[in-house]
Amino acid sequence: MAGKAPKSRELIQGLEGLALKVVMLEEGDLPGLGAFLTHLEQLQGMLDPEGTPDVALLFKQLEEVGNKLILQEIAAAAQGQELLSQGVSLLLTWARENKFPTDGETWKAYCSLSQELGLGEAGENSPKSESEPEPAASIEAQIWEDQELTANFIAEAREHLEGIESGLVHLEQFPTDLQAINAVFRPFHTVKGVAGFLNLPQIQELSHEVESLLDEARSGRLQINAPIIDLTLVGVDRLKEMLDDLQEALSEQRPLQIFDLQDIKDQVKQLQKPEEAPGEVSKRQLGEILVSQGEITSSDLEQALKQQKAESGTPPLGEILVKEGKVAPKKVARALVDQLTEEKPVPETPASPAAAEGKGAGDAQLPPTIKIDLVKVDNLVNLMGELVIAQSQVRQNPNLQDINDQKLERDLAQMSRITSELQMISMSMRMIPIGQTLRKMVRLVRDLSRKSKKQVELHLEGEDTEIDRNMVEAIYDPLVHLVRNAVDHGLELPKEREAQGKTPEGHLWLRAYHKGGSVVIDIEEDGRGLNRDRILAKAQERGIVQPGEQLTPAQIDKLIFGAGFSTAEKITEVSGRGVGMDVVRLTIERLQGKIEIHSRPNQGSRFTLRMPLTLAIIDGLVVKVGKERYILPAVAVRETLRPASADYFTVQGQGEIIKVRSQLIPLLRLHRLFNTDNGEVHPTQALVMVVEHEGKQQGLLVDDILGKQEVVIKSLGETFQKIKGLAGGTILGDGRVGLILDLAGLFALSQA
Amino acid sequence: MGKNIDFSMKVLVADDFATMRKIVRNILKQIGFDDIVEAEDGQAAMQVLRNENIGLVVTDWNMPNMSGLELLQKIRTNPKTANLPVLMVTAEGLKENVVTAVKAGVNNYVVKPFTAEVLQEKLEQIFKKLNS
Repeated sequence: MAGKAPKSRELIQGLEGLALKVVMLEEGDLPGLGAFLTHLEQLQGMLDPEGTPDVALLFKQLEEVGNKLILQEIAAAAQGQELLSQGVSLLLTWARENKFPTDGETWKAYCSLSQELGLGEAGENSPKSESEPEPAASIEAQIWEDQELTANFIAEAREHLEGIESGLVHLEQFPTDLQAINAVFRPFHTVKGVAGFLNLPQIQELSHEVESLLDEARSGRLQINAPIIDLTLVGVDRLKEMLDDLQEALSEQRPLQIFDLQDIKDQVKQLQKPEEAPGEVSKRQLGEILVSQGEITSSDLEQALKQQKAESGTPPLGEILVKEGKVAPKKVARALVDQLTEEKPVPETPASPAAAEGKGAGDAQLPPTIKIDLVKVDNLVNLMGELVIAQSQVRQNPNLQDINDQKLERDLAQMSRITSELQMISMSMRMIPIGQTLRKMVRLVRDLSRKSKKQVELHLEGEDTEIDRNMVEAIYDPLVHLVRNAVDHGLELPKEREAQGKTPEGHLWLRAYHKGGSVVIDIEEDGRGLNRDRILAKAQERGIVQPGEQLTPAQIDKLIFGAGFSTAEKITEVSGRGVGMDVVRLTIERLQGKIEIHSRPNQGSRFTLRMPLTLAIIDGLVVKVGKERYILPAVAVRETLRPASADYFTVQGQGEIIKVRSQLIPLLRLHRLFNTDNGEVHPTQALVMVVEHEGKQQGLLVDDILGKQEVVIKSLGETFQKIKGLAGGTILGDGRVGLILDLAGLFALSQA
Repeated sequence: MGKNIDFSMKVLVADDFATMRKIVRNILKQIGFDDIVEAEDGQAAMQVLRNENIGLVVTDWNMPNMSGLELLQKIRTNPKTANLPVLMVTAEGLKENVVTAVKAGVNNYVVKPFTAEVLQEKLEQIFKKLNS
């Protein structure tokens, strides 16, 4: 010990500093306690690990007392502080005299005080001070003090829960990713906190249950596994139900529904149990340690334990063993230190404290945002459309065009630049990243793969791709359907895949990107590809394809988009819902979009959705019919031609027909349909626009094409809602109204 | 009431959950504060601290981007804000957090859900100590 004198000097000074900190402590002085603990930790680092076990034990106890004072777990804070000061003075004596004073007055005082405060052999007889104080507010007493706050809470909670599902699926693959655990943990944690304030005991209780389960995982006491993820998902669903109920209750002013949470609670308990046991007893029993160190035999231990039970006040086990002479006091102290310093069985988690606090590289840094009522944005976008039009009206004013003024020209050009930029910006305000929609598929794919016993690895790309908010909602259902199909029909079972020389897990890609003014979404899998023989057989059986008709592979693939076409041999739980691909195609087309398929046998299929960026604006071709102008959606126009008189027929019972490269296409005269004057009467003098809708082609007779223009769709109002063939109106550059043609309606009209 | 607290100071509330910020703001108003600014995470809070004269920080602990702990560490290491009082808002059951926070120099903490009285008591403790 003498050889350690130089170190002791440093230690003595340190301990003196520590003593000063203790003296300065006031009641409830958290910064002081914090400084004390930090200082204590530093000194602990200076200790000789092989040194006196009593000293190490004392350090541990002081730390424990400090922690408990912070956590207000020691009822009499003054006593706790007294204990600290006695402990530090013991340490000072030890350091100065190089001998641990196990017989002095201070030691005795310290021991009795520590007994009183329930310290001593930590873990063995210290009363577990904490039982979760679950507020048991009655559900009847439901008063929402602030309805607006509650409404905000509902919206915000939903938003936060949204991210959980994809986080969980990620965790399934990387169960030790602390950031991901934290990201899943946080929403429950926050929801619980707010629910406490808003007096929503059920929501609080449920989120508490899930939170406590995830907290076990967060702190490394529990390994994330499938049952935990399943249960968390159940928790998410239940929580969403509660939020729905809360919203309804709020608007109807009725009491909340009562949800049964027992199942979830039981499961949480069950999941916590098997691994929590070793976690809790990570501080192994003292006796156990002594036996394992060979200091006592198991029979010694048994006897001592019996004695402990028999004696009043359950004296510490160590005391009994020493009194019985089974073991030296030093050995007990040593074992106690071992007990305290033993590492908790952390399941191979490369835990870094920073990560545990969740600074989340996964949480991308987002610029500050504000929330705006969607109606306001819609109004803004509409008004911007008007402004653009008003602006071009001014420009095209004939009186203005006579003025030859360069300054005016420049100013007008400047104004139009600013307006179009403003329009872009206001449009972009309604754009949101598609990521949220894509991430919803994560949960879906997970559930699907469970049900179908297929292994699916989902890859999301282009989550930042922006799309009109209204569009996002509209494409959700078709997307779900395509994903279901991909997992159910596209991908094979692991065994089949392996037999094909593929990886047992199938891959599903969801890609979103911008291309030429539209949003493209790919749904691609590396499964078996379309079964063309079966499709063809089915098509022939249904009379869609005549026997002997030669079709290219791509044409065969396209057949699946036909009405009521489904090749699934049996209806499965997953996707056999009687909805065919034709419904998907119709929905997409209704949204002015297109769907394509590329498939290769045994290599997989890819569905490509091409959607316009927004529903409010279409790319239109302005055509002239008599004095009127109409707008055709540009996506639908296949070609424009002026037929030679040889290619124009009138067929009995079918009306007018034109022949385009040996294909016969019915002709519809717009001037006749809309009764406009002065239309070009003869097709060879006019133009035929060949448009396609739902796979059928139709020729529309117009006078001329005036140009291509982006137009803002305006509703014609309720009065004109039922007019067939018109989808809406728009104001053209010169201020006149142009009517937008509705192809579905036109086709129906031409067939009538 | 409030003999140690200067209610004219500007208070910064940091929490990633907007509803929670609103709740804390309401409670602070109830106590008597009037000038309250909000930040949705540690980074935004740092921004506010750079630009405004803040007298008290009330921060949530578990936030994305920059957690309460990191925020606290940044506050303590910057000489300009080293003595700025920081109150931590935490949930019951997360003891390790509290001890870590206190060691890192947090002035006090409140456990959700808390009442105006509890918050006031904690703030009294903080400012009493600071004023002494």
